[in-house]
Amino acid sequence: MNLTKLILGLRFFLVILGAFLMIFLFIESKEIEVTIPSLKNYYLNFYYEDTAAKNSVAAIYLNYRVFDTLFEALMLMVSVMEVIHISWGNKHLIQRSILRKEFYKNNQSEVVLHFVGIIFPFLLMIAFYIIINGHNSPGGGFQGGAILATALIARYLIYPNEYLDLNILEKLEKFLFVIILSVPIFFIFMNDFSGNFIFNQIYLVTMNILIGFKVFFGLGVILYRFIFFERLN
Amino acid sequence: MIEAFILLGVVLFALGTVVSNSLRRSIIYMGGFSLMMILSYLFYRAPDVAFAETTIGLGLTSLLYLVALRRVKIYSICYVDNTIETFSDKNIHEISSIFLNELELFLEKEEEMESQFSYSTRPLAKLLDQPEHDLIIYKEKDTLYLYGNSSDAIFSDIVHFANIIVKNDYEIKAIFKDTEDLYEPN
Repeated sequence: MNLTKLILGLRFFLVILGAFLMIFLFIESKEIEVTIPSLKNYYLNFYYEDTAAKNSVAAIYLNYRVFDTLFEALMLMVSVMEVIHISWGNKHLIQRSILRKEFYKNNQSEVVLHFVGIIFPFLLMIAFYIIINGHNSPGGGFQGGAILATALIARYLIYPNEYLDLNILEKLEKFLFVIILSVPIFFIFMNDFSGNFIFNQIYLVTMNILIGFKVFFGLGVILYRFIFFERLN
Repeated sequence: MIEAFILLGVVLFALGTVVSNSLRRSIIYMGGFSLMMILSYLFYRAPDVAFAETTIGLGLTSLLYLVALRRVKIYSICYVDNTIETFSDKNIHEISSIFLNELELFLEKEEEMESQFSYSTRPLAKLLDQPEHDLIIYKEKDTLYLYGNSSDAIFSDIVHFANIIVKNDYEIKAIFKDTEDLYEPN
């Protein structure tokens, strides 16, 4: 009994310590930001002329600091590869293809069924809006791709027995990563179109769409892997 | 003023997540925590990050945790032996090879439960007062005593199949903690 109280006290202490750290860091980071404003001022003053993006965040992650985006995409791909090949091996994948039942409605909750049916088209619409309009409004490829993955989960809630080939999704994700690597090489690093407004906008939209689909495939693989194949034993 | 409310909400929901007794409630509190984080991001004028937090933190993570919670159920088993002073790896290996491995397999295959073992040298009467363990196994010479609740369906399954699970010639006696009935499977 004493031990459980001790553990509870320790939990309280850790949470309060974390809260104090968070507040401290908030205050500290504000002061640091004020001391070196030159780079921030450059980004905030010239991003529209340089990159043709109305959203300064998109200008930074797709143009000024596109290296960061490339490595972020690489990180997601590596984690997908880890999830598929190392954590479970390939044994569950074979079992899944045998166990394929027909969908029947009685098993599902009526509320979930109807509400997902209503929400689904809006989910797709907002996802594509966020991806395609990511350079002008808040959002971008990553967020839109994550919403698309949520739509995939919603589809799972309605059709739990539907089969989805994860190998194709994983291959598509790798292929998209190669394209994501090559597009900035031709647009940004060549420096031929740096002042051209229309080319810059085409570049931003293309990159957002590519990143969106890559994140969709990657998160989709991870979620399906966790939700589907863990159930079988 | 709004800033203080939002940050206080973040801390409160975090406390709720950590302290609450039920895991399901913890997940819901974590959703609330994400919501407060989204509000704080919006307050600090970072709508992009707020979007990412909405989809990843509030949507996908909560869903994933709820699904994981539905999959994994843990059955807690405590093995008590008063003749040993401290448990070494050798002791545990010996006990496992006799019947604990079989028990683990049984729980995994038949009941779809994860088993969690703990080993204790404390007196039996003290352990019986605590409700933490679903099954307490106590060995005395050639007799195995199984302690559990009569309302526990998994415990009655284990008692029913005890002769198959335990390979050696142990005598098995099952005692229901709440009704104090004695049951011998042989």
